[in-house]
Amino acid sequence: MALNILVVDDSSVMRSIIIKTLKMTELPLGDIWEAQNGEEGLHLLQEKWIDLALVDIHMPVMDGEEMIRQLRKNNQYENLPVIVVSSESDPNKIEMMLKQGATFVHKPFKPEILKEVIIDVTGVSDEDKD
Amino acid sequence: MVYTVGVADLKISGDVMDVLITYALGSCLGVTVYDFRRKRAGLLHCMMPDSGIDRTKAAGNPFLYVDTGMKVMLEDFYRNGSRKNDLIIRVAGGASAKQNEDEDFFQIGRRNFVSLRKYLWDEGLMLKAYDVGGYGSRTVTMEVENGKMLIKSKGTLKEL
Amino acid sequence: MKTKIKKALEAASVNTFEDVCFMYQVPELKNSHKNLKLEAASAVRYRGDYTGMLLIETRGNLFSAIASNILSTESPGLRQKKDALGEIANIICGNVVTSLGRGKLGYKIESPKALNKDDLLKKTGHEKPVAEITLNFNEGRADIKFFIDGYSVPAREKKID
Repeated sequence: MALNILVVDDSSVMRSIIIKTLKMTELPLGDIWEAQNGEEGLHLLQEKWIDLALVDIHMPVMDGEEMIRQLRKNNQYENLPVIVVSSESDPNKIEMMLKQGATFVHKPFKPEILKEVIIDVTGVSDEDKD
Repeated sequence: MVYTVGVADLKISGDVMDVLITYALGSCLGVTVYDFRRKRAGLLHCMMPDSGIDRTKAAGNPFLYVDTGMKVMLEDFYRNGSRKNDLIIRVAGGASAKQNEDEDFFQIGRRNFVSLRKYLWDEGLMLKAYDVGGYGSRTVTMEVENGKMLIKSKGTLKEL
Repeated sequence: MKTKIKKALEAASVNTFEDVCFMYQVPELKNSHKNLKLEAASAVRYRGDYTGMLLIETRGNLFSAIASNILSTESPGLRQKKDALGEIANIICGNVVTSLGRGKLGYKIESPKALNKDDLLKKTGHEKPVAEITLNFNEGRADIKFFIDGYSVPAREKKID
């Protein structure tokens, strides 16, 4: 299964880092979509088939917390795998994300960590190599 | 046959009977590359992070430095038909020179690991596994037949 | 608390430069980097139980090297350089604010802003950072400062110390 992935981050540089990392993982990738904030992310979710969302927390217009809250309200995205990729270090906020069914990757991250978490939450693998 | 890889040295083999071994990795890195399709294995033992500090030395022995050593090793794999997707890259070593890392002024082991990560990032390659840092030396063996990488450290043996 | 913030600032900065920019500290360059000229600066404001700012200034050739390393490109454009420095500031700030204590509100981190020299003077002219560190790299120097609004006011200073 090729994964269609949504990357939501207000920093173009961070989106580039994440997308380059995704390509380096050698996991089966489909389309990668980019959004600059939660609102754009929700629009893309309605328009495209997305298998996994990588979402920053601190963003203008609509932050990641609000985006996740809204998408969990919609039955269609109830079980969508969401990975929060953020420099947030407040345990309360992280706990809230986990309660919403998201997984957390702390910025700065090593590429291998992001790969591990993606495998963990989506079940895809690079088993060809093992 | 068992081949010993010395300090600032590289060995690559495509003979499934071969085992590559390097001893006493402290702050140095032992980087292994394995092409699982062609059953070829390489083991690089490099000492310093960046050839930029002495290009002449690097030209004399590229395996002294992480960047030039990796370049030579990967180019050999590509010349022999390897594709990026076929390569499994792992690393061990990069230990601190002091038990308390804060007292290790130069932090060569840490610098070596960062330099390796930069090289791989620029090449679009990812590490499969790493066992780096800490204090103490490591011995690394690499079996060409199956790509098994073993690390011996402080009397324990583990597979990476 | 000051010590805690400084430790958090140092750890976050070193880790961010290592993991995102693939740059390692070279403390032995401290003397030769002493008089390097200011190249660029970026600031990130945070809001929560405390409000304030993280400021990063680059000297030498660091401004370009950060973007170059992150994006694996030899000559990044000005926009890319500003974005890359801003993102570094953003990540460091997000990691440091937790050292201010677990507040009820949590912290909002605003988008980073590139500063020119006039902005820099305006922003920091009357304020004193609660913590600051300098990191020396082969490519230049980074001075990273963490401010809490009103910290230079004596009453606040007492509370923070």
